[in-house]
Amino acid sequence: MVNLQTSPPNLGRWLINLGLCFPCALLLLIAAWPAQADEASRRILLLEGLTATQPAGMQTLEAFKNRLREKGSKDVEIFIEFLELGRFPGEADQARTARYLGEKFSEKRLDLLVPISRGALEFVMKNRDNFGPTTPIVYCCTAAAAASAMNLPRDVVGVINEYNWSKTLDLAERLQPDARNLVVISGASAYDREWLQDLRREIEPRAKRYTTHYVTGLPYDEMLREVAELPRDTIVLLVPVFADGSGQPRVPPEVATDVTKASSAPVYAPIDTLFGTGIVGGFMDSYEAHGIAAADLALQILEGKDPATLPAQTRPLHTYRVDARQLEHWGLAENALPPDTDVRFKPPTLWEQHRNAVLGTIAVFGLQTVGVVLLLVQVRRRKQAELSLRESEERLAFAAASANVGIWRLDLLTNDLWLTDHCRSMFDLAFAGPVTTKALLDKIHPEDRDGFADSVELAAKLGEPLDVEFRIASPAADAHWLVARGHPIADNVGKPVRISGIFADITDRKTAEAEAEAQRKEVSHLMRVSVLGELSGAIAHELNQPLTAILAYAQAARRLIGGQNPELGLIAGVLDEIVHEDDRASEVIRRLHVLLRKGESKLETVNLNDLIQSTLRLLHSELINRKIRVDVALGDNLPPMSGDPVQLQQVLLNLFVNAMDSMNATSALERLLMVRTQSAGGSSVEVRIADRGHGIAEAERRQLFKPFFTTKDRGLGLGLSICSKIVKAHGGKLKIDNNADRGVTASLTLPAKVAAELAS
Amino acid sequence: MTDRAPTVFLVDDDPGVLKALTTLLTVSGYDVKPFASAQEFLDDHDASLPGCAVFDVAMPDIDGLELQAALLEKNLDRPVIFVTGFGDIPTSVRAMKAGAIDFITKPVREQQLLEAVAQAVKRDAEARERLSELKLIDTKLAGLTPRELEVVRHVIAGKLNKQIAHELGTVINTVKVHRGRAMRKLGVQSVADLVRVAQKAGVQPAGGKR
Repeated sequence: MVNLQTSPPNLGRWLINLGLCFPCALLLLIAAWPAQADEASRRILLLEGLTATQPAGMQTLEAFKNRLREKGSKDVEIFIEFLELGRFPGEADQARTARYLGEKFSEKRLDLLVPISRGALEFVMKNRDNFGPTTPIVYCCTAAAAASAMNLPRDVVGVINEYNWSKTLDLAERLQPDARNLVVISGASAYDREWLQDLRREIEPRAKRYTTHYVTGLPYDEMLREVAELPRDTIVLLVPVFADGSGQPRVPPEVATDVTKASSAPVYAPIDTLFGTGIVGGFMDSYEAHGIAAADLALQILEGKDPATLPAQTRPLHTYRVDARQLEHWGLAENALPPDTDVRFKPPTLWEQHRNAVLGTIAVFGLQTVGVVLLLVQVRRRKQAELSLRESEERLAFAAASANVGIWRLDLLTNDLWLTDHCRSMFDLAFAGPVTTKALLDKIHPEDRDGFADSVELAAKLGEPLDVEFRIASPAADAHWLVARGHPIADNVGKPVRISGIFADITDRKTAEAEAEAQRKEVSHLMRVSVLGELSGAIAHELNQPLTAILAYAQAARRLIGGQNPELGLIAGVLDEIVHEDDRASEVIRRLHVLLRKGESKLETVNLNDLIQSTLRLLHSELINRKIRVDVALGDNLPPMSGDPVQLQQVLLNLFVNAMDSMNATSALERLLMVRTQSAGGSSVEVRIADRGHGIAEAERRQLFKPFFTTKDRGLGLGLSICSKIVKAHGGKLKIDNNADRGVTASLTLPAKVAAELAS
Repeated sequence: MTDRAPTVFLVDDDPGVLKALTTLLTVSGYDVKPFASAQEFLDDHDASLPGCAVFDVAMPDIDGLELQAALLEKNLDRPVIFVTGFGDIPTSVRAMKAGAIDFITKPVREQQLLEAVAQAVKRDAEARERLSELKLIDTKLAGLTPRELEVVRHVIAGKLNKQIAHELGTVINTVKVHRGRAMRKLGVQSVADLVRVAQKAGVQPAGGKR
C-alpha cells in the first residue's frame, strides 16, 4: 500500500537523512515510494489486564483505536491481548502468559507496548524482555499512586488515573452532611483487595468521623442483603468488584447495578464505568479520556519522539460527576454540589427527552396552527364574502328598489317564487309569507294575464330571455305598467331550471309613449289637414260639381213645373237626379270628414283599391287643374288586409300629392300619374305610384323619411316621415326610387294581415 | 218661333254636371248636344248647326280654353260660354279675349246661363246671316267679267266714267255698258248700294293700293 498518509515530519526526516536537495528529493521521493512501504507498518501491542468482557478496558481500547484513526495513522498495526489477570492471578499463570506472548510476537517486531490497567503495567514491566526490552511503553488506566510506587524507568510513560476516594467522599459529605455511617463494599480477589487498599489509604484518616463498616469478601447475595439493610444516613463507597466472596468473577458495572439497586443508602464511586449504574457519583474521569490520552502519547513516540522527553504521567481532566436521577432518588440537594460539577442524566427536559417528538409535535402544531389560521382566515373571508355578498345583495335590492326595479326568481322545478320586497309592493302583495305564481298572476290585469303566463312558459320551455310588458290589475283607473325581464338558467344538460329577472315599473315610459303617440297623431292629423288645405280649391270644386248639378236640376224642375202641361214623370226624374247628386256631395264631405277628424285609429278590413279610388276622387279636380293624366290599373283579387283606412289614405294622399307636385315643371303633355296595385305572393299588397317629375337626388333620397326634410318650396317636411311611421306601424314597407327614364316610383308594400301594434 | 231650336253643344267631364245642365238647357228650349270630353266634341261637332257651345274649363286632356282655341284654329266661329268651378281672373280674361261670350262660375245660375246662351245663339244667328249675305254677294261677284269687276273697283273708288275710260284706255260708252251690266248682275240700283256690297265682299277700290 502506497504510504500517502506518511506524516510530514516523518517524510522530512527521511529527506534530511538522504541529504539531497529539494528538487532531487522530490524525484527520489517518487522513486522511493514502494521501498518505504516495507518500513512503514508499525505495530502496537495493547495489553488489557482483564477480559474482553470488562467495559472499562473495552472503552479504553475503543477510544485508543479511534484516536489513532482520527490522527491518520492507518499504517499502524494494532494487536490486542487480554491478560485475564483476574482469572489467572498466579505467578505461574503470568509467566506462562508472558512466554506465550513472547513466542507469539517473536517474529513481529513491536514498536510500542500499551499496557492497560495497573495489572497489565506490572505484567509488562515484569516481562518486558519477552517483548523486546527497548520497546517503548505507554501505559494507561493505572492509578497515579500505583504507577509512582512501581518506580518506572523514564522510557515508560503513561496516563494515570486517579480513583480519588477522598474527593469522592468529599462529594458524599456535601450531599449527605448528616451521614453517620460509612460503608465500603469491595470484592474478594487479590485485585479487589488492591483496590480496597488504595481506598483505605485515602479515606482512613477521615473515616473516624463515621461508624465505618467494610463489606468485603461476602458472597454476592449476602453482600446485597447487607447493603439492603443499611440505615439511610449511610455513605456507601463502592469499590469495583471483580470477584465476590464465593470466588465468582464479577463485572464491576453489573455489581454496581445490583448493589445500588439493593442499597438503602446512596452509593458513591470514583469510577467512570460504574457511573450510570445507579451510583450517585464521584470524582472521576472517563476511560475514554484515558484511551485518547494514551493514543496521543503513542503517536508521539511512533513519530520518533524520545519517551524521556515526554511527561512521565499524563492526567486527563478529572471532575466531580453526579447522576441527577440519583440525586432526585435520594433527595439530595443539587445546590450542595461543588462548583463545576458535571451533573449528568438530568431529568431530561421534555425538549431533551423528545426533541424530535417535540419538534415534530411543534411542527405538527405549527402546521395545524397554520391550518387553523388559514381556516380562520378562510372562514373570516367567507364570512366577509358572505357579508359583502349580503351587503351587495342588499345594495342591489336597494339600488333596484331605488330604480323602481324589483328582483324575482322562479324555480321551474318547484314553482317556488322569490320576490324582493319592492316586487311585492309593486304587485301590492303582502310583505311576509310565500307568494304563489297564481297570487302573482291574479294581480295582473286580466287582459294581460294570459300573455304574461304564456311568455313565462315560453321562456321556461325554450330557455330564451323573457321580456313582456303588462298592466297591474289596479282598482285605480290609471293603468300601472310593468315590464318583466328575465333569463332562464339551465342545468348542465341545458334544461332551464329557474328564471331570474326583474320587474320594472314602466308606467312613466308608457305614459310618455302614449303622449308621444298622441302627439304623433296630432302631427299626423295636422299634416292631413295641411294637405287637405293645400287641396282646398280642388276639394271645393269636387263639392261644387254636385252642387252645380243640383242647382241645375232644381231650376230645370221649376221650369218644368212653370210650363204648360208639366210632365210629372220628367219632374220626378229630375228630382231623383237631385237626390243622387246630393248623395255625391255628401260622399265628398264624408271623405273630407274622415280625413279631417281626429279619432282613435282603428283596425278595419281595408280594400286598398277602394282607398286609392276614393283618394283619387278627392284629387280629381286638382289633377285636372294641373293637367295631370292619371293611369290607374288596379289588380284584381287583392288579399284583404286590415289597417286604419284614414292613416292609409293619408299615406296615399301624401304620395299622390308628392307625385303631382314633382311634375309642376313637367310639360303638360308629359304629366302622368301612374297607379298600380297588385297582390305580392298573396301575403301582401303592393302599391306603386309613379310620376314623371323631376326625380330625386341620391343625397336627398336618403333623407326623405327624416322629419323636416323637404324638397318643396313650401313643404314642412313631415309628410313622408309620417307616412313611413304609419306604414311601419302597419308592418309594411315604403320605399322611393328613381325611375329609369324620369320621375320616381313610390312602392308601398303592406302585409295582408297587420300586426297588432297598430292598436297601440 | 223659328222652325228649329238652336243647338247648345255642352262639354263637361263631370257626368253629373253634364246631365244636369243638359236637362236645364233642354227644358229651356234648346237642342242640347252633351259631350263628356273635348275630344268627343271635336269629333262630333256639326258646325252647320246654329247655336252655341258651353264648355267646362277644367277638363282632363283638353280643357275648355284649349277647346276654344281648337275651334278658332278650325275657323269655326261657334260662340262659346265657359262654366268653371274656379272663377279665377286670369283664366276668365284669357277666355274673354279669345272671344268667349261669358265666363260663368259654378254653381250656374239659370238666368245668367240662359242669358248667355241666348246672346250666344243670337250672335251665332247674326254671324250666320252675315255669312249667307256675303256668300250671295260673292256669287254675284263671281258672275262679273274681269272687265266689269275692274270697272266696279274704279266706280267704288269714286271715279267718273270719263276717268275710268281714260285709265282703262277705252271710251266712256264702253265703261257705261260694263257699269250697267255689273250693277244689274249685283242687283244694285245705285252707286251707294254698289259701294256697300263691294265693301261687304271685301272688294278693294282701284288705286287704293297705290
